[in-house]
Amino acid sequence: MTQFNVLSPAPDTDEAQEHHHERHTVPAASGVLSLAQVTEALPGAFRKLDPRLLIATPVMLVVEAGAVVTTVLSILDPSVMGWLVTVWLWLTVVFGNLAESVAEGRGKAQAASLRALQTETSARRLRPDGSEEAVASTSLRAGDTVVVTAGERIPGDGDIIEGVASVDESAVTGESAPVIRESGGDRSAVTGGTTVLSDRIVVRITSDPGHSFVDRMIALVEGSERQRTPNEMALNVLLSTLTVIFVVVCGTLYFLADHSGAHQSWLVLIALLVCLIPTTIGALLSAIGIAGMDRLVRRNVLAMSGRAVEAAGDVDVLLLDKTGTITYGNRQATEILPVTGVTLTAVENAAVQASLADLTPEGRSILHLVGRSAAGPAGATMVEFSATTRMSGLDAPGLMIRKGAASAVAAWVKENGGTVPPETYVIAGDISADGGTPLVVAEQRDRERARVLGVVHLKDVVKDGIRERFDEMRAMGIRTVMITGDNAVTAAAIAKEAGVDDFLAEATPEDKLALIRKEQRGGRMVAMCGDGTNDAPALAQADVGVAMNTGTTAAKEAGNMVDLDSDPTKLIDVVEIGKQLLITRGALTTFSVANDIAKYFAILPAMFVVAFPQLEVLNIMRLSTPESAIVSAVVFNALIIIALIPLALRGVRYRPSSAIELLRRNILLYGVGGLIAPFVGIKVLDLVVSLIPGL
Amino acid sequence: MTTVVAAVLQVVVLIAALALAVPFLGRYLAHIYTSEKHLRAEKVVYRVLRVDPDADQRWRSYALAVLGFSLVGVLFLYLLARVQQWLPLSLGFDPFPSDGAWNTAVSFVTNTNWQWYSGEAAAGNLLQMAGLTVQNFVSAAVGMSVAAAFARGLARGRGNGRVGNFCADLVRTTLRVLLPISFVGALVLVGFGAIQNLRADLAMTTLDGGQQILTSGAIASQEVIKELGTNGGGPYNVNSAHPFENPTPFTNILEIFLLLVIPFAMAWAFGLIVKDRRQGGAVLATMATLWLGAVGLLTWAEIAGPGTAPQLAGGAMEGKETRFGEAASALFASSTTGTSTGAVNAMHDSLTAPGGGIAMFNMMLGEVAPGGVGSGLYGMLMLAIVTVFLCGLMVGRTPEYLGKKIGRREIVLVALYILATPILVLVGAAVAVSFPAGPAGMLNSGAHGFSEALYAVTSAANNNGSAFGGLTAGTPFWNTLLGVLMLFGRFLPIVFVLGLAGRFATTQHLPAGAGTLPTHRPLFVALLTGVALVVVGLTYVPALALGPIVESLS
Amino acid sequence: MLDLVYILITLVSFAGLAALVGVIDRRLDDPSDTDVAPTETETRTVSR
Repeated sequence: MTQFNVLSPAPDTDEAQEHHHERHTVPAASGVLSLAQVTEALPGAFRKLDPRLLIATPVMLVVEAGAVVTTVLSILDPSVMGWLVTVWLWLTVVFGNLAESVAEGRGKAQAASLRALQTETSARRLRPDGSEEAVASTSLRAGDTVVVTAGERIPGDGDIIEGVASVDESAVTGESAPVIRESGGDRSAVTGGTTVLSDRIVVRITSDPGHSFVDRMIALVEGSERQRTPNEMALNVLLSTLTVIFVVVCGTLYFLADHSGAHQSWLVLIALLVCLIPTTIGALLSAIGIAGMDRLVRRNVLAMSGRAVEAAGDVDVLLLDKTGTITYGNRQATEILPVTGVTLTAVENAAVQASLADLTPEGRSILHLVGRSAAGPAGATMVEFSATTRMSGLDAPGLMIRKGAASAVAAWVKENGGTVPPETYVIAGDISADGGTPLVVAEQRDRERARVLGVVHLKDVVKDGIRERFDEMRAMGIRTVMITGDNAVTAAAIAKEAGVDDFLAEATPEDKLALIRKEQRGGRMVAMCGDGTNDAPALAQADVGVAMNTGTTAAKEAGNMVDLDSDPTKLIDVVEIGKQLLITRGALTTFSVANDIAKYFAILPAMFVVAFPQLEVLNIMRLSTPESAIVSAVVFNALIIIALIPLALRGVRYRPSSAIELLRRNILLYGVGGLIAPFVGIKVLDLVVSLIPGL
Repeated sequence: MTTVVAAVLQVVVLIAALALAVPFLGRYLAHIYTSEKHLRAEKVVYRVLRVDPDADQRWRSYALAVLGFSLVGVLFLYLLARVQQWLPLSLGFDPFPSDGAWNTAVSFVTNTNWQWYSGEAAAGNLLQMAGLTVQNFVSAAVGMSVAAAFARGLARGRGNGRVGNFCADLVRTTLRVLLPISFVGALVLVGFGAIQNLRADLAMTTLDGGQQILTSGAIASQEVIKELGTNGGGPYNVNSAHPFENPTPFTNILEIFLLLVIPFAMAWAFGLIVKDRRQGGAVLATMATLWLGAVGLLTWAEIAGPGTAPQLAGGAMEGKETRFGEAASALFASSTTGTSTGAVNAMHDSLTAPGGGIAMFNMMLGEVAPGGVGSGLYGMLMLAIVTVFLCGLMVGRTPEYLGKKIGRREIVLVALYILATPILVLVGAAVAVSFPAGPAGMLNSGAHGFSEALYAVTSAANNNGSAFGGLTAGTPFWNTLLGVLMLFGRFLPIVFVLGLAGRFATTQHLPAGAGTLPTHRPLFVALLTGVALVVVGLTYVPALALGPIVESLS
Repeated sequence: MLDLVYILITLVSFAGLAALVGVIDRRLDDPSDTDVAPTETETRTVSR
């Protein structure tokens, strides 16, 4: 079965999590804009003023068009207000671009460090006759075989077809401890750019130049392959709709106002338009998407598409492998039970002696449980565990000890003239029913009859804190299903202890696939993680398939995300990031729309107060002059973008809870907050703006 | 104080009557729109029309059937109005002018029932009965059918893509709902003094010795369907203020009841069709909240009577019937503008400034409080989808409504729906004030004159049909402009609604979980109400500022 | 004469609406258009 790294405990906060999985090349994650980040992003922000690039965000394109018109108007008929509005309209566009550039900038740093891995090296390609030839790593094609020995860099992605080696993958994963890679099985994939630390391996290259894993990573973190996700497109439609409505509102207002004898200049109408259209969310929309991908990368998860990240937020069912995710992955001795007539000490001694040379985690855990060591009898030889005998133990002159599966040990006892007390089966049965594994200990002294001493209770230990995480999942409306190869009895016991909603026992890869299909037919979105080649079909079928980096190439290709830490609990983080992405978009949209109410109170009285003095009543903010009110609203509209860039990059804080609670909280924060904030902001700005001479 | 008590009392009585009738009628409507059985009378109709009522239509066929049926309706009405002088029962009236005939034809087919003419002085009995009254029935049935198709589309699962049969919906709605209720309602009205005859004009001598001619006709029958089908086009120019149409305070309440009952019942039926009564309840609650809010504000405006003239006169009684008074007039005004009916029992032109503004805002809501028959339901559902989209994101899931995902294609159709009416209203208003022919029709100058024009375009594009009065709309300019607004204000939304119904009928139904945004809770009702108010407010506030708001603050 | 104009307006308006129905129908059916559910359109490779 798969072995996973020892997992970090569930982090409490975003910050803790980000630090924990920090990639060594990445500057400290933060939601705060540093000056350096901004200066670095500025050129990009100005480059993006190109209307051909802006067309992707219609809201900002309208702002730019408005800025062009006000520029022309201000040149033809210069005024302080005209130029103030013009400058701030341009700044609005630049600020929006800046958000996107900053988000992209974070990825660029990572891409640069990954590029360093791609320096050309020479590779030792094997000719068909077995002789080696030196070629440039960039000339390797899929299907070539190369030899890599200790100290050399692996020239390209591939599968080991011969040998075993420890490999330093820190360049890709950030994990400094070397990993073992060997031919055959699920540990055979190697990544180009990583370094072999020991031994010699033969690798069959699986990717052509430019299509390697690192190439894909670079493309992903740089955002060059970024396509807008379905939800982002839908939101864009809604934002465009609001924009069209306000264009019509402001365009027709020119004629309506004219008729009412309250003539409005196009400058003022454009200022009103820009304040009303949802510039805040329009400016930050793509930055939110890029930052979401970036947050995943910071947790060492590579998503092949933004679509997959978004889908993660919608997941209804989470399929989790038992081993390594729910339990620590190795069974531990938790109890030793003697049979009648045997002292506990006797069983413990025998168990310890039988485990002295046993280096498996189970063996270690027995020593750990008993808490004392015992010297093995002189001249003892160890009996290794084998699949046929299903026992291990030791042979010494005058003493043989065996521990192993109940049936195997019972057979050994009978073979050696002993009888097995029925009690043994009862104890073993109880342990099994409890989800544990019974390990029967027996001995034969001085050629007497062999006898059973007792039973060791090996237990699959459920990870600390995992139960709480499943409770959170349930609160979020996500059902968790444990997948295990164990029998139904064991599986049920562990499922109960861990608090998962359901389990699939004695699962074959086909069962997994069938389960995913069944859930999907019912309209549910399924997420799973896997690493083996036989997981590939299920990974491909799942809506969100996270492949472990330690897994096979097939698994990595089938999934739509790769976890470089090979940590299956990461799936939970992925779901949270997906949700956070959607919440951030929704929150900023609500904020943006709610802002409009205050802006009307600022601008409408300012526009019409000359023609209709009674409208001064609506100037509830008591803004000093009409000109100052309009400029303040425009400035507020631009500055709020800058103020919200950190939030867009960091994402709205997400705590797992039910939909209605989340909604209530976010409506209060961003809806009501968005209603109030501009009243305060515009008033404060007005106090400053009104000091400008000539306005 | 007694005025206030009476005002509250009549609302309480009305609500009690609605509370009794709505669940019952809602269940009946849901049955009609989901049942597979046909009545014998209906089978005869299908045989005559040579249609197969069991053919489940895709949305495209359904929409084309709606359009085709309405096109024939417009052309037929146009013809009837143009040649009425040669037809029997014409009472000797001249034919309508071509622009007026077209305006009227469009107006009645679109369930708007805007009337540029005085019914008693222009339309003969045949035109009234065979033309206008027939459209009062079928145009209402068209709206209800479209809403039913939308509800079925939402209720159906993946793959099918079919939304029902237009002909069956139309015939069932007319025969099983509108006709029976109208029949009973007309009898009651006659019992209370409304008239129903085909007699010639009655000449009589008034108290002061003058001569007056009273036009009579089949009034009660037209009156009932005028309210029930949220039509609003009355046989008399002064509409439900006329004692032959609306004789007593009791018939006044009855007529208000009639114009509210189907829109509310459609929301109830919706819950039953989608097999989740709570969803219908939430839609109904939102409609009721908006309606009650408007009733409260308008009643306050009329009773408090802000403004110089009402204060001097001791009450805002200008343009109101003394037998109804301020409160009953306000209740009628808020209900008729909230339901796309457009019948009036008082002159909206003479409402107080804030009162007139509320009536206008009610229509600007897109007729969802509780809206026209059918159109109120689908209008509110469109707003619900916008709300779900905005708020759904904030719970961290791809938004879904009743288990249907709201993706890009869905939101495009909703967006087009939301865009259609405001663009028509605002562009219509800009056109109206920018050509000399537009302001020429305004009775007043300044803000009130502007209100008259804004009210007219709002009323037309939202298919309400009530008039602010004051505006002389019987000119080729206004007739054509308003006709275009009515036509597109009706059928553009219908096309988008049916498109969305078809889309929903092909997408998979997703089961609801704890992570799904619940759309039946009070919080959602509050949000939906808020979204409706904010979206409409943001769209129309600048225009309103130049009319009613300026007037109110004078 | 004016009659003809108004009948023409009517016919053109309804023809336009019918055309709109056709356009929407085509757009809704277009499979190349990206969709909401990632399972429907996103293809991933499965190699063994």
